[in-house]
Amino acid sequence: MKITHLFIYGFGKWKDHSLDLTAPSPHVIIGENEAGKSTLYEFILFMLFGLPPKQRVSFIPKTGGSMGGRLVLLTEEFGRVTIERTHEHENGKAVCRLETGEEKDEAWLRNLLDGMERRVFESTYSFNADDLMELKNLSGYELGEALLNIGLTGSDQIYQTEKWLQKQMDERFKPKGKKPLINEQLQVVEELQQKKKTLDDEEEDYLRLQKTKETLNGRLRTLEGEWQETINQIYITEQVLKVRAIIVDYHLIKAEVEHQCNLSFPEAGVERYQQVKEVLLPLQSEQKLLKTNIEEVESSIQRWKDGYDPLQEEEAGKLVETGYPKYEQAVYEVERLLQQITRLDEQLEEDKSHIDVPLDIDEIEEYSLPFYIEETWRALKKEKEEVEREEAFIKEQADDIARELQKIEEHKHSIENERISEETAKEYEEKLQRNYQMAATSDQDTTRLRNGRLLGGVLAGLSLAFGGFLEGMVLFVLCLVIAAGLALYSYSCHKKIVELSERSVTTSIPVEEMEQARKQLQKYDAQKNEYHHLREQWKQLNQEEIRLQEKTHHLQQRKRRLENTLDEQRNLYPFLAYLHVEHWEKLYHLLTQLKEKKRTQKRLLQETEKQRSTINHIKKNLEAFYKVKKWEFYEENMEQQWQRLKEWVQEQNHRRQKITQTEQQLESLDKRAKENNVKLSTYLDQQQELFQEAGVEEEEDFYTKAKQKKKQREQQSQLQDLERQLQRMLSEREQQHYHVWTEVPEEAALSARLERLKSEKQKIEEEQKKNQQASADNESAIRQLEHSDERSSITHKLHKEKVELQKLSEEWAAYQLAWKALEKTKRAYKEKYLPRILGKATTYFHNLTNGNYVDVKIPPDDDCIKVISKQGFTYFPMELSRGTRDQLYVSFRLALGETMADDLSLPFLVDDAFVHFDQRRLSLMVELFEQLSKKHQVVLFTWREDLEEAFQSPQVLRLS
Amino acid sequence: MVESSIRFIHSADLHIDSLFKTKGHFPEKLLDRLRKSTFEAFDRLIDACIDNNVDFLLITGDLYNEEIRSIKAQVHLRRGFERLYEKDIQVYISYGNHDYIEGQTLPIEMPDNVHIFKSDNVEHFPFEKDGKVLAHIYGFSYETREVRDRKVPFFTKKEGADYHIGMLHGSLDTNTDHDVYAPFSLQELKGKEMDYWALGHIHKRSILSADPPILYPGNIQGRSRKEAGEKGCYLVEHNSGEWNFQFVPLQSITYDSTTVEDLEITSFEELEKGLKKAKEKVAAGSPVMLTITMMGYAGSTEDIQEWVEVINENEDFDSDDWIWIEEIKVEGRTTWDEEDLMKGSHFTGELLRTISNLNEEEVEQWLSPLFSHRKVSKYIHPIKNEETTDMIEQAKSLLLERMINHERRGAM
Repeated sequence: MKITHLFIYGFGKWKDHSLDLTAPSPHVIIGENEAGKSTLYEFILFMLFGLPPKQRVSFIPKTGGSMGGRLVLLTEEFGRVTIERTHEHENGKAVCRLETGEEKDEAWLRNLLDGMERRVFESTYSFNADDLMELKNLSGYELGEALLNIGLTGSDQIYQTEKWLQKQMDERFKPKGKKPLINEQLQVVEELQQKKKTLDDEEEDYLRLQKTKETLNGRLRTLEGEWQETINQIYITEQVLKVRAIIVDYHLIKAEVEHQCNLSFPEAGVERYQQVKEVLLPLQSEQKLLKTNIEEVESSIQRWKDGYDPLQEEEAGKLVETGYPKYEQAVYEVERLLQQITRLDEQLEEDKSHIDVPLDIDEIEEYSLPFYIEETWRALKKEKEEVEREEAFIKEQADDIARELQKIEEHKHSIENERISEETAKEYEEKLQRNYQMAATSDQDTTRLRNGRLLGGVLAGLSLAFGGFLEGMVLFVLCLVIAAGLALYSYSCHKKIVELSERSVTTSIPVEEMEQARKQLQKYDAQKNEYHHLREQWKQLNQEEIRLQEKTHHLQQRKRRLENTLDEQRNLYPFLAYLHVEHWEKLYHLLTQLKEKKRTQKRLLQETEKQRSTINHIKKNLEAFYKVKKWEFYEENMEQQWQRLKEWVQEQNHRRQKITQTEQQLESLDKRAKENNVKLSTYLDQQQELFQEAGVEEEEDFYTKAKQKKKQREQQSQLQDLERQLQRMLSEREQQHYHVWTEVPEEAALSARLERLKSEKQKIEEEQKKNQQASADNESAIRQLEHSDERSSITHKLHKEKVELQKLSEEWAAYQLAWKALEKTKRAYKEKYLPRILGKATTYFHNLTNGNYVDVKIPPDDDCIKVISKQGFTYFPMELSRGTRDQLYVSFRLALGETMADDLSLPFLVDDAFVHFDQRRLSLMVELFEQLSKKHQVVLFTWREDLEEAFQSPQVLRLS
Repeated sequence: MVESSIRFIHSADLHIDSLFKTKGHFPEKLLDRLRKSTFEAFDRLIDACIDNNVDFLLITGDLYNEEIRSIKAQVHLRRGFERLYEKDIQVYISYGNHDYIEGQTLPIEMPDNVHIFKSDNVEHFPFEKDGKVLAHIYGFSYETREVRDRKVPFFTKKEGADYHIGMLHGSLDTNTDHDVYAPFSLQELKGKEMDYWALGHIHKRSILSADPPILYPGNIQGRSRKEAGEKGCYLVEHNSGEWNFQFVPLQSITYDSTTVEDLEITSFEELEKGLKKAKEKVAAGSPVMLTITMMGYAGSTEDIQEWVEVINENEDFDSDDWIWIEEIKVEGRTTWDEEDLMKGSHFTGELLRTISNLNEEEVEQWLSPLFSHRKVSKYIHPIKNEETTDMIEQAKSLLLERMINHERRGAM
């Protein structure tokens, strides 16, 4: 493959420039420094391989215009191929045109170049001064290495890469190192891992801590219980110690009490006995007192009884009580009676004279004067008066009748004379009848008109009155008009009436005659009636006269019957004869009074007699008593006798009273004594009972026993008291535990126990404290674990560092892998190409050194280049002179290039590669290039003018 | 059931105090924040229960991580549950593969409102409200690290409650991304006629079914960039015959990632600007652990690392809106074509061929000086499978970068 033409549109300093490389190579392009050689070189590379945009930009011509150009290649396969690239077009992509007119793209170009990369091309087909310059910096082993690489790749890039990779790896890891990153990181990770392990263990402790917590809590609870129990025990023991004295007392007294037999003694015996006695003593003294009193009373009764005669006393008493008043009464009565009798006598005489009827007083008693007599007498008197009155009345009536009769007779006679005849009366009557019929018709009209007149008048008045009430003038006038109308009507009616009456008067014919007839008729009627009446009267009077005659007859009969009765009475009571019937009734009264007085007088006399006998009887009794008493009795001085008797009775009475009184006293005393006795006996019984109960008979013994009993009681109550105290101070359990009721606990034992308990308590408290502390520690450890961020933090950190370690390791792995791959490739490459390259390189080196060195060797085991001189000495590249080294380098490069070009013939581009070569070496180089250019196109860029001459037939292009 | 209503929070995979798979070197303070984040998220969970006045809280497994089931973690949970106890909010817990019962070394007693399924037999707790059994909550706990059997057949509805809620810590039998525990199929769950399935185990929240609701609430705090975005629980409510579930974010720190494109520039100023722009993109009020992917960056990763360190240093972890750039990924920065290179007979081609032919044993042998190191090996895990591939890739990049890019830079 050859480059035939260059057309630069614009590239760096080049603009619209073209080069023709059609002639056979070598082409020598000569130009001063800054003449644009390198730019031209760059242009060719750009056209073949393109450039990244950034780099493209730096080649845009400063003077403007488009950047790019054309390159014409001559290929074996496709003939002429034009490559066109511009900065603007498709991002600097190549457009290839074939001779056939076909257009190809970048990929096609790449393929054309056998996938050659610019870098590979450069290291294989291009040479420049810098390559040699770099060799200078290499020394020793490196140089051989570099030369080998150059031999293989055309540059020391492999070597550089290897070195870089080694460095990267060394920076990261050394199996035994400390400094490299991975080693450092490993330490970090290990440390964290360690920490984490500790924390993990701690966290695993959590379970243990929880368990410990439970155990501790359990233990604490147990301890609390034990502590409480110990405290209780201490308290109990202290309590027992405190009450030990009481227990001692208790047991002493108990023993004593148990030894004594139980005394029988009544309950509250002494008190009861005292009570009984208290009552008994006054009772007994009273009893004594009563006894003496009774005796005294009895003697006084005896005294009173001597000189007291109850029989006589009774008799005398009776006398005084009944006899004496009777006596006195009788004496007084006699006197009074006598006076009454005398007075009656006088009255009788007076009455007798008053009556003035010849009648003996004593006779009066002989006439019975029953009550009806008075009636009879009064009736008689009345009858007589009646008869007389009747007689007078009848006579008067008879006179009246006679007078009447006479008068009637006279009247009758006068009427009979005056009266008209009956026919005349009839005549008058007919005349009147006719006249009456006529008058009846006119009468009816008159009545109607009268009514109209009346109505009109009344309404007229009303209208006026109504009009007067109204205020309005018009209305008033209207009323007036109505009233006037009505009045007019009334008046017309009135006129008609007058007319009518006038008419009737005119129609009755002979009025006077009519009046005369009527008067005659009336008179006739009246006379007829009166006559009739008179006749009636006369008849009545006649009848009355007959009845009166009958009455007279009856009266005569009554008169006779009365006279008979009067006579009968005069016979029975002759003294009546001296008196008129009228006074009979009065006499009856007087007689009965008289008779009554006479009877009274008689009774009084009888009474007097009776009183006197009473007096005598009493006197006799008194005398008899006196005789019994053998007292002198003087009848004359009765009053004195009575007095004496009275006094005696009084004295006796007094005695009797006294006796009764005293006897009552005695009785009450007896009663009291009896009651007292009853009481006494009750109390005595009680006393006896008490004695019996106590089993004694005397009071003294009783008291002794009481005292004994009291003591026993006191002991018992003391015992009970102590028991109560113990019960109160010690609980049931304590009592049982210490057998307080059966024995006295040992003080020493108790004290020892107390001590032991106290020390136990202390021990418990200490353990409690310890456990509480442990619990608190445990709790805080738990809390710390629960709230600790550390494990999480460390874990995350560890994770992060591990990731970091991983990352570093992976980085290292990448470097390692790259390095190893590189090594492997190198070996393979070496095996494949090295013998060929080495052969060619030996030839070149031999030529270049003018036969001073005959061989270049690379032993397969150590990759070290060795050169052998014609003397047969072996040298390492570093042992060679600078120039020889350069020759070796060039040899390798050329060998490589030639080898590579065997597969792909590409133009060789040489840029000032030999600036440092001396003339001799230069000519050798030129010779080599000339040989090379026979097979491949060679383009040389140089500033050395002399090169033109060095080549046999160079195609020289000068840049200016 | 139509008349009743219920409100609860469904959460799972608390992984309290769990470790973070965070890359790169970072300060203690950040570590502290990360470490606290699961606790903070849990506290927020409790707050959410109280603020929403829920009937109960469901936690379907993995409350702790077995490697760090610390007393602290348990005490913290207990404190949280005690707060719920004061509000008379019940808690139903089933243990999962990360906090299986046999792994409990230091069990701490929980308050009375906490109901824990005590065995791997499916049991149920009645939930009472106003003196009436409102819900039956079914579930089981992992007794050992693994439950490989199907558990769903043992969930049997017991009559006597308005609602039937199943708590299941496991994964779909079709899911191969994770260890398949207590496998189940959606059809199987639906066949059980539960009113609600409270799932756990999968950290990414998802709604497998809306009727009946079958949900994974995901974990409450992301722990690596793989668990990115908002994390939390579901507030579930059933009212007038309708189920509502609302996601409640709880995470204390958000894992997030962003991409910076068209970044070919290598100047420090522009790099800084690019990184800051990336941060601005995610600034969301809560602390963020950020992964930035830089597309087409061709500069040195070391430069990036340096800048990231500078920018990170300025973050204040006491604030609530810090953003920590955790990792920078660079994509598409290679300027060479590996395949082309591999074809060439040159050394690079040879190198690439060698590398592509590397086998695991070879790698393992090469790495043995460190990975079999007596001390170090205790703390690092060997590189296996994909990791080996990654590692080889990494080595290749290193070499190519070094040998191609480095060379070129040196040449200019």
